[in-house]
Amino acid sequence: MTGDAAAPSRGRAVAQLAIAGLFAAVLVGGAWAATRNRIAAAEREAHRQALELVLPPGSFDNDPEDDALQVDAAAWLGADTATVRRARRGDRPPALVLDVVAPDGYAGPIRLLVAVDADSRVIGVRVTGHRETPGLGDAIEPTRSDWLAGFRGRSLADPMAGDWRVRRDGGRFDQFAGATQTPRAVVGAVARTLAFVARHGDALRDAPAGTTLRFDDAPDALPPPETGR
Amino acid sequence: MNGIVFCLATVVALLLTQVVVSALRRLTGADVHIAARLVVVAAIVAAIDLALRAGFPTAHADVGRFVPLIAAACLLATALLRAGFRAGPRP
Repeated sequence: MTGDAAAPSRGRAVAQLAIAGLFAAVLVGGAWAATRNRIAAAEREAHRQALELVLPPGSFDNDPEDDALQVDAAAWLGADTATVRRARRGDRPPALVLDVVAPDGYAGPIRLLVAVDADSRVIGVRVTGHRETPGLGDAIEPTRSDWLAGFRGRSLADPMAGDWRVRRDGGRFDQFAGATQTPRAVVGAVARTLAFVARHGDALRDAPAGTTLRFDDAPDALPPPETGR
Repeated sequence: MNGIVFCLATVVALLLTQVVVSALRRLTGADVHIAARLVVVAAIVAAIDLALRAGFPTAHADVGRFVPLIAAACLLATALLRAGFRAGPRP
């Protein structure tokens, strides 16, 4: 077949594919336009429920959603802009609830909600979004296992910073059979969050609600494991 | 409930895929039919995924990660139906 003979056929094929592509674009674009408000509302509701789960009832008397600020600290929290909410009770220093992204999940980013108290201890961790392998990596969901509960009460001094790894890497946190990358990503994200709060917690607690804070520094590399395992 | 929602999503995807692929068959020639079918099936499944996220967020949280697998069922069904119509009934 010569190039001249193939040209019209190629042009027709491109036009036909363009029709299919146009149909696909219109369909997906229309579906997105029709559903985006409801999806946003559903995500807000899911986030609110996660917030209630991650903070003990009665531990705050304000609305953390109203007492929030935006934080630009991608090196720490994994997202260009993350929301940090303050849960206050009386005059005590507020607990911080941070939107965190573990960018190195096995099947993509894992979105987390991490609550840290005034003593820089983890109050609770909840997964708000992930695409990990069903039956393996999805054990990070509280409905599948209680692995996330192992973070409760932990701080960078318990275990020591070098032990904030899964056991396979010499740390103190269990991995899942057949899925090490998922817990490794979550443990790393929670450790970075604690380090972030330890370094910038005062600024996060003192900033007026609604402001945007920017932190250009980055977390230090974890020290070697303390346990030597 | 989650199973019912997922089954309904699969049925809707299969129906839509068959209808749209059949309609597009007249517009797209044999050269690009497979590519066009892939694009159409991907778009339909993406739209259904969005609809599930909006309408059934709880079910989507549980079964949403399996929704892309519907595309495989749609592609298989369209290929099998096409082959079946070509072969005709067995004597």
